[in-house]
Amino acid sequence: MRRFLLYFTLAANLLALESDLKLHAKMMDKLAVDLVNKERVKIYDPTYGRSYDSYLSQSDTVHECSDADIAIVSSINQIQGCKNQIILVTKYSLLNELSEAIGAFYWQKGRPNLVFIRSRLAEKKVRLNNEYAKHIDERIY
Amino acid sequence: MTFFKLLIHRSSWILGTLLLFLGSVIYFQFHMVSQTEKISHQLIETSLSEPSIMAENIAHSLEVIGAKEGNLSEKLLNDSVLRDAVESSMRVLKTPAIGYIYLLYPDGETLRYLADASSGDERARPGQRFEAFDEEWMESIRRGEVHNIYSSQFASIGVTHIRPIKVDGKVQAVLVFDLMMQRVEAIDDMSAELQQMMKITIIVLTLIGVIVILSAIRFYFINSKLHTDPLTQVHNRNFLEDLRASYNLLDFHIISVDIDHFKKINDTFGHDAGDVILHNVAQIILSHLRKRRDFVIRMGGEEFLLLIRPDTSAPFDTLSVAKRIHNAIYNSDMLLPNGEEIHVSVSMGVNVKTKNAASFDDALKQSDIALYHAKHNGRNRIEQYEERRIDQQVGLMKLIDVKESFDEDRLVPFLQPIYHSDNCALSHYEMLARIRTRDGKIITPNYFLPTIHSTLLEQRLTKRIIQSANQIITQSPDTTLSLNISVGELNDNSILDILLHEISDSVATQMCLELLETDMADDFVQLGMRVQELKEKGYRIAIDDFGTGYSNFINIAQLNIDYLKIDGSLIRQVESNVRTATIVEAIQVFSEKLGIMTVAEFVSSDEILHCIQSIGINYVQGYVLGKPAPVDEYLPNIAF
Repeated sequence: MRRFLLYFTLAANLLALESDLKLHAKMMDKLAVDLVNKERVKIYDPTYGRSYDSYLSQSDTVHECSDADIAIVSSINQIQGCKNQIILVTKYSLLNELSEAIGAFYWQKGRPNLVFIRSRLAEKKVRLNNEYAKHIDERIY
Repeated sequence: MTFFKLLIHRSSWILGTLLLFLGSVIYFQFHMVSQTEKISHQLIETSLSEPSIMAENIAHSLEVIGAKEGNLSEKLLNDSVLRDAVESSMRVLKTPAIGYIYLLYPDGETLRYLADASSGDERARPGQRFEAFDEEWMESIRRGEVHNIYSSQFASIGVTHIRPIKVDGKVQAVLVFDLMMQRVEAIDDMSAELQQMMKITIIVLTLIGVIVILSAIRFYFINSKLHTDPLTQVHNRNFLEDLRASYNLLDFHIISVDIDHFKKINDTFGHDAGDVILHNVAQIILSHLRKRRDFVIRMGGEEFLLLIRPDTSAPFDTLSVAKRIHNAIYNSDMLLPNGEEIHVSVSMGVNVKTKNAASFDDALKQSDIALYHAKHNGRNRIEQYEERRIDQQVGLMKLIDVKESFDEDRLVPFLQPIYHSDNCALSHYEMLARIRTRDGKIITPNYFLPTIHSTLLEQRLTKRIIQSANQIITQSPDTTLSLNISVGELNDNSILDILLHEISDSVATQMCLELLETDMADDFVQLGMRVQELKEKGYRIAIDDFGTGYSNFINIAQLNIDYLKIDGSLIRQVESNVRTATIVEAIQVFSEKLGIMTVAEFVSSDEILHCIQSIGINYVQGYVLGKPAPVDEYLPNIAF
């Protein structure tokens, strides 16, 4: 957790002068690898499309959810075509609407936020390392 | 010497100024950056101050609620009505600059929302996690103090203001608002613009400063050139004029220096040699003076003026300095361009009584008088101006008094008869100058000639004497008059023009021009040319005071003169001193062989007269035969 925070903070600091998009991309890159446990992870992010490809180092973006290992969506409609992908949402409120989502990675008040719901992690059999322990909530508020 | 060497050599103050200026520019540059950052920070703090006061009020209300309820977070999480009311009050803070206002509570190491004044997607739910990226958040909660976090992590958040809400000394929540980056950027932009303007100002000022300094350097070098004699590298007259403006020159002692027989050196060895001598003498003088305390000025020709700051302690007392310079010049081998080595000497007039002078010009004149005495007394010596001694023994008139007497036409021509030695018959007269005081006293030339030596008054005197002689001879064509003319005046075109062009040939043949032997030693070649011109006009030429100067028989022989007037110091002793009598006899024999007539002056007794007659001197002049007297006493028919 500390390492993630450190990375998170460090990344945030290093990228302070960069755009939020770049920060989002870097964090997604890290998250994807940690969640999927693959050497090269495919990300489906219909909100941003492939706009942050150039910032990714361990993952790639794909056009179809079915081709992805992990999807990050901002509406229910965007999960059409997804099968067993790990799903994150870009709004906290979507966690209630989309039971497939294991957590949310979203921007609120100008800051990135990350939260996982413990029951959904268990349901999807996603295991997170200790770096993320602080980001796991027991319930949705 | 190159520009930069000269710059380093002479202008340590310029380098100092440059360094000081550059230091100031660097200081102002850094100071400006820190000041604009400070201004920027203060502007941000000002932007935060008003909302923070309002936040303080809200926080205080929440603290009251907390104190009443015991657990503020639990109360707000469960009481939506209260929460709505709190959020409503929080919205009062909302402005375009304040983007988000929210209330958080600590849940272990996590922060969660209690209330949020935002709407739409930005609005967080009560209990929802708040991601605190910065350790400052938790630190602020632990300390329970108001804190501003200057964010550099996120593009839209500029500064986050955290106001802890404490109940019973324990932080139960924090009221937070975010000053948006646009506002901070606007302030930063303003600050950057200010910084930019100040940078431009500093650059402009730097350029102006550089231009001013370069102009000052340029002015310094032009000024140096204007004030420096290119041959000797010492100061020139221009410098003296500037010094007058900057110093009270009466605070200095004055030494007037003149290189002995310089014209002779020029004529014998050439002008290149003369230049070498001038340069060497100047350098020797410089080497004996203190830098930036004393000054050397080349006044022109072979004359130097030394301004010495008084210092009574040896070895810097002025007379000691003068002696050292005098000896150093006398003992120096001067290597000429043709490989020859010669020695030169200088005559020096020292004035250490400058404080007593009415003006610097007077003080300068006094040192010139001392120099005149040094030259008159045989050169290669130092004479000190002693006001009392001169007043008592010589009783010199002041320049202004002489001038006034000339202006008031109190210059009186006198005549002294000159007789044939063998029969004591009148031959001709020597024309002499006297000044009549306002109360009728008659002053002899030894009281005013040293004062006016080498001044325009000396010329004026000579012109007046020539004019008077012209009048006398015109009215009495058989009268022959001897006039005293200095050798220097023969080089003066205005005097020479009068003698050659204004005086008629018939008058010229009745005039004898007496040249002082002690004036002659410098330039016999030029003097010979002048004498020839005058003789062609009809003038007769006499050498006055012969036997005291340095002219040798060859030079005298080459000058083609008519009379030798044997110096009074020899005549006075001719009857009492065998050696002197032998000298006078030798002069007589020499003159006779060359066809030059001899005149004995200062014949003051019958014994001397008889002695002179026995030697065979041609003419006699002196008190025993006829004293100097006004013109009308000897020539009563002459009208002026």
